[in-house]
Amino acid sequence: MERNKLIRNSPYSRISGFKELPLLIVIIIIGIALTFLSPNFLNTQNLFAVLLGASFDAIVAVGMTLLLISGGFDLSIGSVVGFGGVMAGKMLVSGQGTVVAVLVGLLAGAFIGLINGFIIAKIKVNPLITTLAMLSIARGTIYIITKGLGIPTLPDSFNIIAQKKFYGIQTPIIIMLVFIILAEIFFRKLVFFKQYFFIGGNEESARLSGIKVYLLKLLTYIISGTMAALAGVLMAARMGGAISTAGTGMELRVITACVIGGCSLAGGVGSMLGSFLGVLLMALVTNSFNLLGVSVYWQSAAMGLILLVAVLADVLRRRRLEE
Amino acid sequence: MGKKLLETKNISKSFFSNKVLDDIDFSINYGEILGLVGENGAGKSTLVKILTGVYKQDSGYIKIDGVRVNIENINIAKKEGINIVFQELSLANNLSVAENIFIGKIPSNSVGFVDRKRLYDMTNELIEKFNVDIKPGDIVGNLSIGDKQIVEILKAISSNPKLLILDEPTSSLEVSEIENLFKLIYELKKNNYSIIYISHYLDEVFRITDNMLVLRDGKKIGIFKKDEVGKEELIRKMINKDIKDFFAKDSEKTKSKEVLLEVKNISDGKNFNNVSFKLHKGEVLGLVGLVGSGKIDICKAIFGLSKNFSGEILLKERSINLTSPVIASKNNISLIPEDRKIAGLFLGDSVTNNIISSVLKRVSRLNFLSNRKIMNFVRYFIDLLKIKVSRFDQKVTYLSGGNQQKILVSKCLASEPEILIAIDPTRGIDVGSKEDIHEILRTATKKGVGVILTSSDFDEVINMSDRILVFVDGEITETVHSGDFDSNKIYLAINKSINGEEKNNGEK
Repeated sequence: MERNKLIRNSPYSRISGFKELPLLIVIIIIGIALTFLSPNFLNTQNLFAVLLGASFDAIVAVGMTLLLISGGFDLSIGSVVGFGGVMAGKMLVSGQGTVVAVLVGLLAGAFIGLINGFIIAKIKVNPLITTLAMLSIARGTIYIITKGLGIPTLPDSFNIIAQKKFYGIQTPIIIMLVFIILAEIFFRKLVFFKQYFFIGGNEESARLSGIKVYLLKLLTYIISGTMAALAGVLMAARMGGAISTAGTGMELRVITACVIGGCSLAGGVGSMLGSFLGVLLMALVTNSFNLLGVSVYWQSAAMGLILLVAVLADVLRRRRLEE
Repeated sequence: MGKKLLETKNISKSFFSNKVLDDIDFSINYGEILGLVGENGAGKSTLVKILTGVYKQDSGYIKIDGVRVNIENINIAKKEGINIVFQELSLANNLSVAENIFIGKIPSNSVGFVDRKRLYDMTNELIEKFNVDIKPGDIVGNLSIGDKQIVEILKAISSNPKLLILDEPTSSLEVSEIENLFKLIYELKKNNYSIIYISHYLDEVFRITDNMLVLRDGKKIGIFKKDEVGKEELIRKMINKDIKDFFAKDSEKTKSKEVLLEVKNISDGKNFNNVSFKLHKGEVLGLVGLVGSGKIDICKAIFGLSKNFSGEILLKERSINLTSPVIASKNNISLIPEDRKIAGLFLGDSVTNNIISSVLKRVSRLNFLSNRKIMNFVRYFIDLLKIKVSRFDQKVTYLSGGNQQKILVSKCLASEPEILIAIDPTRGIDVGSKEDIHEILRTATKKGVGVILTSSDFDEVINMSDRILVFVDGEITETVHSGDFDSNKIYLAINKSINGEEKNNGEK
């Protein structure tokens, strides 16, 4: 009898495996509530605006999710977003074409990730401190190379990459969806990414299992930096200019979203779908504040509160696991 | 000798249906040093945990100064005058000797500032009383391990206990440091403190203690005065296995002459020195020795966990540079690490994920994990090792120790290694699981896997091995073939220091 039960059990039983369900329900409830509370919520224009706003966070969340799964952490992404945009802008004003500008922007993000990853994975400095320092260094570098002004106007040939629509959908949303879907499948199914769950679960065990811990960890930071720079490049193109403060505060929002979505700061768990739903929830909260006319001053406090609640839930969940 | 300090009557303790202590009576007088000896699993640590309030006995009672006491927890134990110094030191390395000794009761002046002068005076008082050579202001992190051990003991003494329990106090000390420790212990005895001394090093037990309490399988074998009993006799009392028990090996498979692994003169300048041996196909090679004898360090070196060693390691006659676990895994070497929780399992992850963690490629198609392959793979191991799980996606942390250990073994065997290094593969698990794991290791050897086995369970190595290497102070002192296994002699051999006095006759 016990055997039969076992056989019917799949290795990852699907119903109990759909951990994102509660979050999805919360999002639907907020959506329904907003429909009643504000006449401006449920229309295509507003919903696309929410999605577009969320798309930059969601792209950054791809790298962050992988990082959190592997037990890592990156606070520098907010500045890397700005840095990627500004580096692309710098190329454009010096006469380079769009392709070169985008590539240089992405490489700039990858480079910052490489430095983060090297310091954290090789020299084994605490990721919190390393990336906090990098947050400041990258933002400072933006101010230095643009004399604090950013790059206010960018050519239309570049801007089109984030302003064009396909079937009425803005390109950043499409790019986001492609990444989210690929990441969801890859993180769950691809042998390569499975290794990150083991590193995050128990780094020492992973090492003894013959997993190349150092290289893989280094790579997560490079991916995280690259994805942040991609968001930055798209953001600059969207706005037609690389603002020097672009991405400020994004790290808090994205990490909050990932933790709400099931990532643990202790590593080893998380899913792309969960993080994406987390990003959506955060975007909905922001949207509801705007629609309901709540002062922006409240938004920051609310974001912090949500993060605190999400982290508390994570810690309590883990403590229960240990007992 | 002084009057009676502590007395136990009929102390028994079971875990589930497993009786680990059975009717233990003993007593200790003021100023007495009592050695507590027995094999691993004999019940020593359970007894100590009951005395210090970590466990509660199922039956029986403890009397201190003739009064029955109820030791509920470690604080009550301290209040009753029982304190323990564990094998692992628990000092704050950045603080001074004085601060460490009086941590939690640092004297302060009326404003609340630390009264440094009084703190140092109190420390000096202890230092003079017990005649030790350290200074109150020394930073603990700069001290040798031996001095740290002494600070740890003074820290325990500072709460004024009557009885001090020392658990393997010398396991990481150098010879000269042991002398200093013994000096301190004699000073304590002079000051009428009682000491329970636990050690695997029988030489030391004979030197330092007055009497020896021998436990075996949770039962008291007796309390012996050290002049009444010889070392060999004591070992026989501790082990009580007839030598004939150990002939039950089919020694034929040792005749397989294909050499899987050859270690040539490897030294790391610290833990092992000039070690050479061969591992044959289908053989279980047992390594025995005391803690710190180098047997575990050798295992780690073969798995690429020790970068700096000289000498050569050959895999199937091919020289190889084993500098990381990645290289070892690639060459079909697998390791069952000694601590499944810290270095073996992914406790928060599922049974499935743990078993497949080192063989992701094999359960995938075109680099995508295949649920069907995973299912078959995991079910194979769950059946093979009789692992009791309620669901495949159950988190490993919810399983019993025995089942966790089986999953760890599955994980290591899953990669189909040619060489399996097993460090304490059945540590702390029930007898049934132990037998299942032994069976699976034997099956693996029949398929040609070479196993290097070391264990804190002496009997396990004797029962499982085809050949045993005896490690003393980082060197192989004897090689014993299965036909010649004699647990008493091997026990003597591992207890003998390298420039030891009596050389065993006949063994080679």
